[in-house]
Amino acid sequence: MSEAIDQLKEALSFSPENIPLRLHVADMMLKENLLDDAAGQFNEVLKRNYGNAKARKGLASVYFRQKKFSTAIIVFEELWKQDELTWDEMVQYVRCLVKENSMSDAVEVYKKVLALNPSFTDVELDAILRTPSAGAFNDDFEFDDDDDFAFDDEAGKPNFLMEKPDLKFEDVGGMEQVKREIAMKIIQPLKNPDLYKAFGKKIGGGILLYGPPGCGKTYLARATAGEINAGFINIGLHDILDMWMGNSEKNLHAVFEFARKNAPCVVFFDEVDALGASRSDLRQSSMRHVINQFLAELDGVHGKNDGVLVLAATNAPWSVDSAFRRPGRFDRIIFVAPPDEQGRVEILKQHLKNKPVEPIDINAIAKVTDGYSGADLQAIVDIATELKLEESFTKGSVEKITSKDLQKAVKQHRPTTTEWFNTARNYALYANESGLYDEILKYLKIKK
Amino acid sequence: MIGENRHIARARLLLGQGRLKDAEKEVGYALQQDPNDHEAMLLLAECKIDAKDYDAGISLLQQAILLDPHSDRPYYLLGFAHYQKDNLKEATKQLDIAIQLNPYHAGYFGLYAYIYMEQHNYKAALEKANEGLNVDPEELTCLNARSQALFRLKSSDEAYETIKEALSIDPDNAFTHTNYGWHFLEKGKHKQAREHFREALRIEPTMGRARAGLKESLKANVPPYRWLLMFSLWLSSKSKAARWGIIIALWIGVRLATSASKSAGWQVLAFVLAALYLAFVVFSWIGNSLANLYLSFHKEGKYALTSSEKYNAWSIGGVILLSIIFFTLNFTTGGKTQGALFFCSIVVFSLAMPLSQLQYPISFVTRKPSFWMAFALIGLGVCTCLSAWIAPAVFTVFLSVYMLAFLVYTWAGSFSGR
Repeated sequence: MSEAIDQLKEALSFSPENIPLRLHVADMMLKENLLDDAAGQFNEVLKRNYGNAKARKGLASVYFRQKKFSTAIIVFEELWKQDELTWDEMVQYVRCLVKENSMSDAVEVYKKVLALNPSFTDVELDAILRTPSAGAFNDDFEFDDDDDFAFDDEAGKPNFLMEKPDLKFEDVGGMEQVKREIAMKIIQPLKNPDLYKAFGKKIGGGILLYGPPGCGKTYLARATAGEINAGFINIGLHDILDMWMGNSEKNLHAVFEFARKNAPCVVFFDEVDALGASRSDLRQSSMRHVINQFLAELDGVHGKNDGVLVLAATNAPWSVDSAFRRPGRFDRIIFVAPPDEQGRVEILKQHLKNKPVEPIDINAIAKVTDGYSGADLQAIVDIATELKLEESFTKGSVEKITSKDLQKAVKQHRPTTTEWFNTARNYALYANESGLYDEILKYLKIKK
Repeated sequence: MIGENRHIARARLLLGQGRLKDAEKEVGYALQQDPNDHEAMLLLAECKIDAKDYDAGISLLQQAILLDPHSDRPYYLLGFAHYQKDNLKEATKQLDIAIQLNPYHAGYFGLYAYIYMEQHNYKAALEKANEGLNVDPEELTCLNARSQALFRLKSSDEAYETIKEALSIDPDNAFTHTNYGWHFLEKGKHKQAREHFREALRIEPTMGRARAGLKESLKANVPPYRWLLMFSLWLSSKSKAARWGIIIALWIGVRLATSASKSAGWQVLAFVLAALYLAFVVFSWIGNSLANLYLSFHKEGKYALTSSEKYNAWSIGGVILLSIIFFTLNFTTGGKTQGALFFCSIVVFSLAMPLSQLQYPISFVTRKPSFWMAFALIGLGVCTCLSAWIAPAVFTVFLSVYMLAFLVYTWAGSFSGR
């Protein structure tokens, strides 16, 4: 085998530009566990063909095997964002993240892994990422029809994952108003239950966050859990959709039961409008059951919701079932706007923190990025970084990011919130009977 | 098998909720597992059609049909996509197959009726709508098509009854309200129209046709625009040949009437007729911009205008104001500029016509000849006015060149159908 490698290497010395050949050699080296050599070859490929996905994947594998997890994560993360990872690589990525203790990212990737292959189990990963089951339910649809089945305990894992975020409110830049509202509604009642009792104020109910995508709704929810040192259960779009299929009521009940057992606990429903399906299906009574079950759980019909805090987020508040908005349920509806100028400065600083930068006039960048979401700002920094990486490769030295690069990136990346506001504007102008969208009108500076 | 179904089930839910991108992703997973999954392909096609990517939808549907030629829905969707692309013949062909495979789907007949409406064949449209209502008497597309066809066939009573029925079956249907609104707009009842558009938008704020209707109903507050709107809506219900016939007949009629009244010695009547016709022609060019100008000061209406429409309206308002200033200056100041100012005021006013055709922000990379023609005419007009001050000697030359160019422009504009 190594002989073959040597021969191919010789062939390479005659045609150093032959990228497929070089990748082949590198792969062979990887199989032979010649990790350093393989890394060298992959780097050669990247020098000649910047951004080659195969080479980057190979490099990540090398780092993974060399147990350089943090380096591997950097490469994987980029590939993950570009949706380039195969399933096997995702599993490797999860392992790296677990090793580096980035639990929330690990949970996110692991969910995707499970979504693509629901029957996947791994003792090590399951032990860390899946919460110990209360033994009452499982997520495998094959067995879902009958709860008395013997398989239950064997499968014995919940289809959601609990974490303990260590984010705090102070980690969230800007959004003072939103933070204050959450504090009044959720955090203070937990800290001073007697005071609330004295005023006869009922504790409970949830908060619905809405706003354009990428403005930090999920981040804020996580920080809320961290602020009160509570567990955090993230119920994503897929989990919600799956409630429409199979044993929905039981699954939903299980989530709340689990949260009650693990109080204090924040249950976060991302994209909660998917639960409503308010468009056309509402008249079909069979579709109402998920909503009714959800409302019953919110109302605490099946058990006391002490210490269970329900947060929900949506990009489409107009699709959220109006029954959700009644008192005692999501009676506080908060608009999470794109960051203001001060907020943008903080977000940009955060993203530029550990990067080689020349002194940058961040305020100037913040000024021209009105309407950009947090995710957009991150994209801008990413674009600028990529530009510089490319330059660094060709020049062979580390080039620093300048104000000009960021300005260029701003021009390349248009804000993604525009489309959302175009839709929201119509709802605010024409369907605002209950004043639900007053905040949007205020943000858009429309006076009615 | 189970995993595959799950992706498809998810995709169907997502599609129903209008989350097209998420739905596409889920279908993608299903297709990864089985690239020949008929169901998944159909769902993907529906996503594409909902996203108005009709070409992609059509090619997917053709693949789906190859996989299962006996299912009726792909043919219906194909028909719908072709209808949206204005390929009415192809749409009819596909719908025929769909109905042949499944004659018990009232919605198919509804679409069929709308295709006939598009072809101005209102009798056939009514027939198809009735056929559909035989299958399902509460099908809203058919009820809407029926009422619209009846209005065109002048059976207003029956038409109103049908619309009332549609509204009693589903009072929260934005589509019905919008149709009702447009009907009222054509009849000149802009206030009633507005109520229905408002209702439609309350139910479905993103519905483009209802928003356009609300805008028009607000603009119709200005009476001359209301008449113009009624006329153009009425005109659009006629076939293309009939439209040309009406316009030419109108022109000949005015010519005959003026010359007849002239020869009868009623000079004043002839003048009034000619002036009215001229006003009509000018207003048909700039009426929309003027109504937009009104709207840009309206409390509710100003949010309905796009920024291009706003700038367009302001530019028209600007030149008209300038024209009035020149006109008054002509009579208040004496001197040699007196006659020139009068012509300047006319030139400036006539600039409103090419200006009304401009889109903002002005882009010079466009290849549309109509844009360059308008732009050249505006430039010539400005030069003509400037020459009155800078080089009075060549003013008359400029003026006559401008007049000629203006005539060419308006005729070319009329024939290209603006």
